Amino acid sequence: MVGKLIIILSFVLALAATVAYFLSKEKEDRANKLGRYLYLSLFFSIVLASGILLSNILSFNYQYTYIWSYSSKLLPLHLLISSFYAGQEGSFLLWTFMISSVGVFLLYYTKKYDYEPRTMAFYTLILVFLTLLLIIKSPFNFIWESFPDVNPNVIPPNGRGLNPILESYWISIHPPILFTGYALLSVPFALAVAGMFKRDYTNWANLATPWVLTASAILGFGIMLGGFWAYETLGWGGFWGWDPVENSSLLPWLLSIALVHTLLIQKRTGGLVKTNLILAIFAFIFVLYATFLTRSGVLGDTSVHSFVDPGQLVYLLLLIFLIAFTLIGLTFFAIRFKDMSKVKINIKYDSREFFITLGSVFIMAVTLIVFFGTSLPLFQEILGKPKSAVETSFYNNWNLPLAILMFLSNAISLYLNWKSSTTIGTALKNSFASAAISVVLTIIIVIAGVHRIDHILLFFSSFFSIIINIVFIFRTGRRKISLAGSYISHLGLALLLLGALTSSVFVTEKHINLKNAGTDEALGYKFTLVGRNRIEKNMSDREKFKYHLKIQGNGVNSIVSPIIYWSDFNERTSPFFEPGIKRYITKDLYISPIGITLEYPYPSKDLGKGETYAVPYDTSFKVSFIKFEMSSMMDGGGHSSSSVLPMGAIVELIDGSKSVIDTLFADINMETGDFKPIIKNVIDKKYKLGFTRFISNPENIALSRVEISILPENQDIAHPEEVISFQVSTKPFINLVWLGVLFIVLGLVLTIKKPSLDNGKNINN
Amino acid sequence: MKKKYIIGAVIALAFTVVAILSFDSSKIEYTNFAKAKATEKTYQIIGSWLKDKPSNYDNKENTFTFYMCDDKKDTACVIFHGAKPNNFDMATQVVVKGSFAKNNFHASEILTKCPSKYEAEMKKAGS
Repeated sequence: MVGKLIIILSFVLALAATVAYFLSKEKEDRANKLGRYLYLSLFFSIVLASGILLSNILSFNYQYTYIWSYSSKLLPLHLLISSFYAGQEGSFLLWTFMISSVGVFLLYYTKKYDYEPRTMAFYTLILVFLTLLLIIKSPFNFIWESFPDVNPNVIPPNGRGLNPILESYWISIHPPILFTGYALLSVPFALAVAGMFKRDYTNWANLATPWVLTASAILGFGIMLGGFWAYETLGWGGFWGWDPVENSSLLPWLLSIALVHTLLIQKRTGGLVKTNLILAIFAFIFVLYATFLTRSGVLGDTSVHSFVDPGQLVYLLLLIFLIAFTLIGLTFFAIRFKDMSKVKINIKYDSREFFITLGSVFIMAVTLIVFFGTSLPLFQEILGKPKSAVETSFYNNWNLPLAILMFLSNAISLYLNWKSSTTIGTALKNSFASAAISVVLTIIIVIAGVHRIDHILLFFSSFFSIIINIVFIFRTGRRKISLAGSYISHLGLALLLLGALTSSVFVTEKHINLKNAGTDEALGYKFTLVGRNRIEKNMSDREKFKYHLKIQGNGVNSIVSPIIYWSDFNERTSPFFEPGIKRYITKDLYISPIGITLEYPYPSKDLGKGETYAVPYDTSFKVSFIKFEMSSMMDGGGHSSSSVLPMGAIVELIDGSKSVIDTLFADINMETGDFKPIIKNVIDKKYKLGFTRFISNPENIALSRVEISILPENQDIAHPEEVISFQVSTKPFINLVWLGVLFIVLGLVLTIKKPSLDNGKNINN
Repeated sequence: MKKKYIIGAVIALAFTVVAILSFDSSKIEYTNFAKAKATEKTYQIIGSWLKDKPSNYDNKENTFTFYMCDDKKDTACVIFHGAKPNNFDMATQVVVKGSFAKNNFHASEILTKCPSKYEAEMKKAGS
């Protein structure tokens, strides 16, 4: 009850703070002070709500539906904490928490630079919506509120637990970083709208710059960690799949990166005022759009991430949230459009600012491509057309040429000066050495076997960009490392895309099957399954094994251990897999378990009702499964021990034109689940029959299947042998991807500076 | 200034037109088995796995074969070129992407939609 009340209190405080900030007359007046106190109370109230949820998670209080649904006593501490945001309600609370914390910094920042009331008014308005969302989608609902037929006095002894594929340390790292990035992007939005409100089109941009840089760095890092998680633990084979969920987090990042560039142009030339406002607005709108896409269930059929339909009310509120903030941004933009048009600039074609602008245009083009591709299912639905989605090749085909153009404009821009004091001719001359080296490197690549023209061009342009940026890193970094920030980021981008290309296009893969102690060869290596050992033995809800593969060849002699485990989460019906990776500087050897098959030393086949199996060594003889014989199970079957019951499979044995109905039995120990087939001889034949496995259909037990085995005369019943199938692949230069992102992030961080305000202009209109 | 805007507008327009055109070619529609059977085009089909029919992972060929029923209640044998997807047993809904060849639907991708765990438990408890 307390939790819910505090959420309602937060909503009221957010509303009151917004109103107070709006009433303030842009100076340290009473309304401003009131707004500040209200905001800080709002912050403490959200901290309190989060603290209550967390302490209930840590004290295993399963009377809350949310905690019961996603948490469990079996989870170790770090996962217990992560179950805070494993579901929708908690992740909304995490987002709210992040936004309100960032707001405290923003409050004192804007106070210092005399920008507080309007900025905080729009900023707090975001929290009004979020707290409203939390009232409707509350993590503090009790079990008996969610399920009215549950007895209110019964508190579940344990929670349902996390999906086992989420049980990894990555869930403690990736979502909080991503949400921090999202939260930071609401700052430029609030500053932009406040700027328009105040008719100030300059200082908001200066104030927003460090926030945009920080947001880009953190969001970029968060997105990469998601990719690394998918690659390293989830075993998706790659780090990026153009999945709607991935794309929707990429969209705000792309715009914030474009904004980093256009803000620089405005600072240097005074131009791109409108572009900056629009980008700041849409970077935030895309955060809301991402939330809408991933939380409303609209893309349910097109993504590998699971979506839960949150209910009509939340869907509507998210839509209103999205539309309201788009309207706020665009309305102010429309009202102030004429006013802004007074600012006139002239960007010459042979200036650095022109090429940086061009680069930003390419980033925006990438944004549009990703936006349309991701939104297609949604648009088709709105237009009433048949539902469809784009292939991932759509993204690759479009973004590859755009990346080439981006690298080239980056390279040329570096040799041009601001306000066109050098000509393009000089720039080309100065970059000649780098171009020549890039050509040589590209020729080597072509000789090495790259033949597609778009790949060759991407190689060339990224080499070009890498070399030029390294040159500039040394030139500037010697004086002051922070000056090298942008070059480090661009170097990172080139490395990232180069790694993305080599690790996906030049990948070699093969499928192998291994029995214990078995050997197979693939990709020039010899793989031997040398054994397995159980891990996480203290966890009773799972059976988790490390399978050890010995790899020999190509100068390698080492062991890689992918993981296969069975979990109560899916009643141990099918295994979960984690890849094993052998890392080298120039490539990864990626070993991904994909399936387990049971093999007997004799033929066997699983049959559904009415299905027939022709015996391999005697084609005139067929076995057909008719139905189960359970009557002996019902009355105990006269067996002395009541825990062991016979289960029968009634079969038709067809031998040429003759046919006999017979029943094959197996003894089932009801306590241990032990299944013991009773082997039956077939008259006049050199083989025996057995009902060797019961394949249960949990939805309809009558539709379960049976496994029938045909044993040669002298063969006894045997335990099946596990055959494990692996997908083995090499990922050339995948390390460039991780290194590239780290450079991008590092460069962005180095570029963060205190804002310098343009004091010639009047801030307070 | 005017000229620049015109050039910009032309580039933007050309870009949009090309984008929409390439959109159509890389678009994969959702449909049912009956419609997919009529052509060799790639489609996506939403349906459910028929658990009473045989299903098998062939580890030599690396293909997973199962029977699926679409929303028009048409049934087809689906041959997926890959291993049985994780969570397949729990899936309430399956989306396959591929095309028909010789009466079998050859899928290159499978998406499985699983109920979140507690939804499933509640469904069970309710039934």
